[in-house]
Amino acid sequence: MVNGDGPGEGEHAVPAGASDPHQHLSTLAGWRQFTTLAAGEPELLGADQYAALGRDARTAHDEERLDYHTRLGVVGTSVLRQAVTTGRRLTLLNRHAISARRGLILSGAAGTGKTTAITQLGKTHEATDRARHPGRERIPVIYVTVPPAATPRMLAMEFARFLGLPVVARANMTDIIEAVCGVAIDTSATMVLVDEIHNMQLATRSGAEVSDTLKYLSERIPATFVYAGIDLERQGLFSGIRGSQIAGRFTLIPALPFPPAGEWQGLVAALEQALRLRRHQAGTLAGLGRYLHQRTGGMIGSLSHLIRGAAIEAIQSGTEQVTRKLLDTIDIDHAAQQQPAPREGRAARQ
Amino acid sequence: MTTEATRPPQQRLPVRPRPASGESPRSYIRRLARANHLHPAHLRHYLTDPGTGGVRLGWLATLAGRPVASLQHALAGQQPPPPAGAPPRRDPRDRRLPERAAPLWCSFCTSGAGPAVSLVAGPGVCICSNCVSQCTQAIATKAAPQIATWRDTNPSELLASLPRQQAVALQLEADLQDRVDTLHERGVSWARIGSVLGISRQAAWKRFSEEAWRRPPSTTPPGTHPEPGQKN
Repeated sequence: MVNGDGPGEGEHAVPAGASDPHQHLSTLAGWRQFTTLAAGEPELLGADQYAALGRDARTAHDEERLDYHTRLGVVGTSVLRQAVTTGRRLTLLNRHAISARRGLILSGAAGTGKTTAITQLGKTHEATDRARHPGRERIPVIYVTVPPAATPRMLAMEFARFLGLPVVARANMTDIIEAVCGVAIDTSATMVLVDEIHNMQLATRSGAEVSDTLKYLSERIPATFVYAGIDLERQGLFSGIRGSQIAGRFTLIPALPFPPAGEWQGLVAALEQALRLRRHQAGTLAGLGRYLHQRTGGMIGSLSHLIRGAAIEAIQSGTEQVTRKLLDTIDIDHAAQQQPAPREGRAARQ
Repeated sequence: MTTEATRPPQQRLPVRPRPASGESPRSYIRRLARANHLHPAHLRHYLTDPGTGGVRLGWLATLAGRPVASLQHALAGQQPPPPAGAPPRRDPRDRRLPERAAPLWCSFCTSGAGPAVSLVAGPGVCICSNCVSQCTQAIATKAAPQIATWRDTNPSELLASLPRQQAVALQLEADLQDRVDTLHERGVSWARIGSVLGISRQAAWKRFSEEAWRRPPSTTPPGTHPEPGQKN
């Protein structure tokens, strides 16, 4: 569940290789680029081959590997698999539903890979749809993020922005919703991904209105709605009349930090296998599984950040291997720093 | 909100119909808006340059996802070179607008404007200088000849004249739509518009209203009469 090109929490990340800075995931062009992106793997040269390269060729090779390590591939975590299988099942179930379509909610702490899971679900759905209807102008997946302190108009404008519909000052809320729904129906949208749903506070008036707008959109657009956000059950998304309706229609997939045993080791091993460093000894990171868990608190996002950061450092300094010592020097996010982690190369206390 | 209206488009529209040959920019913007469930008036206002009052062709090209040159080629009224000898500034009430007349064709003989032939545009129709002189002669001699007959032309010439004849029809259709739009914006009811055209209120609404285009056909059950001007 690691991807450098997926959006981080609370920001619009630019897909890797985007030439145009406007190509966010939350625009159709950016989303298309993301769904059709196939990242190539750089070849790992031996020491002799590397030495034989000229100066320019060596720089180019290093640059290619740096680029590769900034966006290591997606690691299939259990949450991702669950989201993709449940999401695909729901889209099939909803195909002929007239109303009260079922949806999916991913909820969990920051850095547990929710956004990656729903973007991968969207990517899978878009690929399936494209295979079923080749050569047709369709927009099977709509991806929007709820802006902070959102009003219904802001939410509607996010949908319009994704589709590329210009919102003129004269247009009122009804005009925007009409255009969004009309285009979504005409282009056979069957999955709507709404990220950062925790920005919608049901306790506030505008938050409740945003919830009603989403509800209305879900009635008008015959699509499966997938929400993702931070700690939604604790934020009161399921309380009150609106909350109980959401609770009655949506399947909840909790995204939790990983325990140090079991799946965690597999994720670390998968990330280690993806590394392209010349002198890295295989199995080093797998042996540091417990240390990595303490540093990151079991967050896949922090783990990916830590290992990618160390790999880039290793290429730039020329050591070409990720070691415990190197990992100690990489700073990670504040949430993970709060963990009682071993510092400055001392042995783990726990 | 003013910044919103003046910001150039970043993306192309999700649904992009092709411009028809000889179509007016106004008509193309209307079709583009309808295909994307937007208000044609809103899109027209968005694409109008407040400085010159003309259509921002670059913005339209971005929205339509087509190169500017191909739009210029297809759309009437956007041909860049005005006829030689035309004065640079013109009275807006002057109907012989070079930028409009250039891609238009004479409604009588379907010949285009050239160095020797100039066109005068009327309400939805045009006439070239050759036809005018023929008309003047005809009136002076009171012989009432028929000008610009096509029955004795050969099939290939007749075939070549079809696109121009269609463009002439499109010009008329666009002019009729513009008039009805203007009337409706001024508050004239569909019933009155229909009665002068000899059709029912319902038929007038269906033919000319934006809402009739925006309304998906499935939501209008047969036999019901939707309120004209009502949104779906």
